[in-house]
Amino acid sequence: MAVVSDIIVSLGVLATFYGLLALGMNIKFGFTGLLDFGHVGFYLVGAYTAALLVIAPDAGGPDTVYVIGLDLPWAVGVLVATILAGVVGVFVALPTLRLREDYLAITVLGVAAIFQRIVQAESWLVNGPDALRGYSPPLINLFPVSGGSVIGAIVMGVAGGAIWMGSTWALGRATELEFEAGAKPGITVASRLYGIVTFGTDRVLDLDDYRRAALIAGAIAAVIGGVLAFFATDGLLAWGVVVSVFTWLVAFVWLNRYSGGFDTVDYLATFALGAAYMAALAPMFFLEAFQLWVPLTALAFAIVIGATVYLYTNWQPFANRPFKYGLFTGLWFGFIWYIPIQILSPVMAADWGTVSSSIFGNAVWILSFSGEVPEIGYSRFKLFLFGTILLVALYLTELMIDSPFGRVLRAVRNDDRVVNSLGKDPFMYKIMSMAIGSALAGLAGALAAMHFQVLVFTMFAPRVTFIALLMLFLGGVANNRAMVLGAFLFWVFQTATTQLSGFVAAGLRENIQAFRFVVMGVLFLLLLYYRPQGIMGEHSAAEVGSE
Amino acid sequence: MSDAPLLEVENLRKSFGGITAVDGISFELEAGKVTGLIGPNGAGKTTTFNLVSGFYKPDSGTIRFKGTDTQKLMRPAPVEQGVWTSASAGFLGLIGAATGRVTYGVSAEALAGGAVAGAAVGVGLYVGQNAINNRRGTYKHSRPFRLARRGMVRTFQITRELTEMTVLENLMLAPPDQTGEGPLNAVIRRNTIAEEEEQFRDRAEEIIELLKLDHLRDEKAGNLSGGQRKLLELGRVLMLDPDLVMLDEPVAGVNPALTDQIMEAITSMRNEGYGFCIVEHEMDVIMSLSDKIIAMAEGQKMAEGPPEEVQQDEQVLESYLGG
Repeated sequence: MAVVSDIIVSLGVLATFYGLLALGMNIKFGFTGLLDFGHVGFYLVGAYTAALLVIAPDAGGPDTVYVIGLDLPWAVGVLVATILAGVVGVFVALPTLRLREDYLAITVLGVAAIFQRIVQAESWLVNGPDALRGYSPPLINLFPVSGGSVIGAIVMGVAGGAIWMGSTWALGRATELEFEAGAKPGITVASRLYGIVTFGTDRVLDLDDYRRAALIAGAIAAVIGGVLAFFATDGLLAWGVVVSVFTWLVAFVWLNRYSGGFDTVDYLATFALGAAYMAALAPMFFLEAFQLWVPLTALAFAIVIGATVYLYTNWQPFANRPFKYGLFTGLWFGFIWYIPIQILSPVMAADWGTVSSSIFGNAVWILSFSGEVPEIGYSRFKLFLFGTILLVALYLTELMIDSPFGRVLRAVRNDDRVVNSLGKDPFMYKIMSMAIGSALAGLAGALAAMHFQVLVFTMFAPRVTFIALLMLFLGGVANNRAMVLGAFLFWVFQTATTQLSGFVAAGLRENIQAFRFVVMGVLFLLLLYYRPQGIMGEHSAAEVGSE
Repeated sequence: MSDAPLLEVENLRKSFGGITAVDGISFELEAGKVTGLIGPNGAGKTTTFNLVSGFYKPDSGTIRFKGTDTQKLMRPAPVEQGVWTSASAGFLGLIGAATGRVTYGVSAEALAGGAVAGAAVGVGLYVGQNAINNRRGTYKHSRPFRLARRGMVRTFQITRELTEMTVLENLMLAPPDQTGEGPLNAVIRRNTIAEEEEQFRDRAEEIIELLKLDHLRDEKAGNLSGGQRKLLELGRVLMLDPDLVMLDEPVAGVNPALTDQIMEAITSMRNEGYGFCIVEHEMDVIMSLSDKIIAMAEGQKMAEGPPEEVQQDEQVLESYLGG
């Protein structure tokens, strides 16, 4: 049976490299004010560069023709693709940056279109207009890995250790914040859990710094996971369960922190709203004739949205905390889909075995259960790999933006004549911004090439630029962390609508796929109208100052 | 510096379309003195300002700052030259490769040969045009930031503060040659940057105190009043420790109390050795501040001298002070 955690994982993979793309856009537009409608051009450069570097040399077959195949390792491919995209970004920037904002946007849009046409028309270059394929993503022949093997031990050690480290860090941060807020160490759920997951090292070694504690805990977890996975298939399973449960607990701790001030009524209200939204979809599930379910679903949605708006305007708890309410309604909606909906039909058939295995499989999200034994599939590995790259890129860009360099960029966005009068060359800063932003787009492109394993020119339509812009506005302009949120929400929407279209008769499916772009456009307009700064808003300067 | 005056302007000319805004003006500014530039609207004061600070390219004439022609000072920096050279080489290299492909078909030799030839032409073109431009007297550069780095900093008539940044950030932006201004340094030299930031912050706090903006230090500059913005611009200039500060109407539209404050700040800074060039319409202000007045009309210098003298000049009285 289809396991929902697999869907979430593939959604996450898409969100990671689109997040990188949006991050690049954010450097250019969010911080420097360069409206680059040709962002996709650098994504294209990155994707094709990486592909050509890792693909085997052209064997001279009639099917695929490409200019060069270097058969290099992926690490080189991704690195070169990133750098080259940055360099191309500089080249494109030099003539276009002299133009004013709107002209700049149009010109780079044109440049991106030229790139796309070159790839399409020059058949010797990358097999245009057909697809470039014939390369495989890194380490794919090792996967899926199961327990009782060296590979399994290594993968579990590295990935499990890193996840453990990240989760411990998040938990340590939560405990520290609690501590600062006045809680005594060791009394809250989070701090007790922290004591356990650091394997007591924070007490024994007396580590005040939760970052170091997380590093040590991660290393220990890596060893434990590796050893367990090495000796038995079940060892992998057992440790997978532990790690998954740990990540869930950390997620709950943070949600609990975020929901601070929520009482039972709030939880119930948000749950009711989430359930209502899910229920509004019910006609779609149960009714065959679309003449019936289309109006019924629309009606149900109208009622639920009306109820939400009514609550927002008339009910204090909601009106005071619209964002928390929105978040929790969404989470409840997701939760209902993630567990109860999945077990709906087996429960009705009283097939308790399927019910429990479904719940178990979705809860232990780091393992995949589609094979005979529990294993770590390639998509999970990819999520881990891409996620790590995204986090590193995010960390580096945050460092740059919080530094004097970022300050100059924001000054350029405000008024480049001031920057000029203060002895700094705004032109150079714009070029650097274009280089960094384009390099991030190139990195996203290289990961996309790795993910899709096939590249066609249609994948690099201007649409992609606007999707990145949408993510940027959704998350929050000039806020790097919000890019991840924006990308994630965008793909949640895409996945959810894809899932929904599965319930629709095959003939209508395409209409739904097209219709969702309309819905997205309307939502985008509403967002720009009511919250132009995006969900998270700009990373505030006061925060930067305190760091 | 030697005996050369801080700034020498010789025969400066600039016209926009049919209007000659600055028509052959010459003057000198001395270090550590306040010079006032006055004249009726349209006399060419702001244009002169823009020409001297490098925001406009003059049609003719020379400006020497500390004895060096500002046109020389504003030539592209090595970094910029490097970027353009490599870009020129890269772009022409691409064209060369494409030409090679069209002419000789797809082969490694044709592509690589074309690329190398194109790149060579590209380097030659950039270096050549650069050399020619530097020799040609009529070619004018406009890179105000190069002058600012040499110690000539200006403010704007309509204040241009960075509205989305706080007062403190506005000031901390200004210091030149910050380590953290390079994206790579921002990642690998964080300790140095933190130390520097500490110094800049201290300096900024001093200036904030001097200008009495303490209560506004974390306020977004966009929320400041007109007069406070003028003060902020002045403060930002001070962060650079310039030799010559050029203020374009520093007290226009500012209430009397703030005007006094700005004047006080200027006087105390002059006593510390900063040179000033001020465009101002408020006669009381400019006459009491200045060591020397240059009166302009229709793009030309009408009178020059100590305030008392210029105030008595008949031409000035007639055209400007309303006789």
